[in-house]
Amino acid sequence: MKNRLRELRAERGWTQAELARALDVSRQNVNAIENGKYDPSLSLAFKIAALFGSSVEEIFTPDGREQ
Amino acid sequence: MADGTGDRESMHWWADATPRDWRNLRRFALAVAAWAVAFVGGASLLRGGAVGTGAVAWLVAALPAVLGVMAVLAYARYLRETDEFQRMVHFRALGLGFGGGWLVAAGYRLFELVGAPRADRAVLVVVVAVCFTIGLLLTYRRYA
Repeated sequence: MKNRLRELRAERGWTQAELARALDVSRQNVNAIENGKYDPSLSLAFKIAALFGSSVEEIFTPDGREQ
Repeated sequence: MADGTGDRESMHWWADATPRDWRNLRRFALAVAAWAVAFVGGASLLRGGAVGTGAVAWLVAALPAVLGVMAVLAYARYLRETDEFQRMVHFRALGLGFGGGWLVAAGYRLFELVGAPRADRAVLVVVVAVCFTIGLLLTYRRYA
């Protein structure tokens, strides 16, 4: 799954650690999601979307589909 | 990712754990340390015959088991309360630890039958711990 997490985080000038704190997860979790190595659960995806004021579909897209 | 937003401020899990994880890991580490002290001390006392064979000896033998249960409960709490990514990493490491222990326990028995030195049961604990640690390191490395 592709995602725009790094881009959205950079827009706000947050570090991975700051984003991790806001989501109450470890920084490695954020890092692994940003690198596309780990797909978050649905509940974490919704939490991320709520934090950025977006929908899940605006942040996460399946591989091979344009955003 | 040196983009100025701190992506690489640390790649070490111990520096990136949440305060909740730190608290739970500290509890687990304390319980394991207490278990180790009780186990080594208890074995030494029982082997030396310092506590005889009565009720005190049974208490000395039972203490590590009680502390061991506390360690298991502390680890279970860590797994329950940590985030999904850390849980996945630990489950993979546990799988590798269990698999490694099973392979060595079952496999080495055959070597014993053909003359290899008889292994102490305690070796199994070490094998599981080593395989678990390798599993943790490999999984963190894979997802870093």
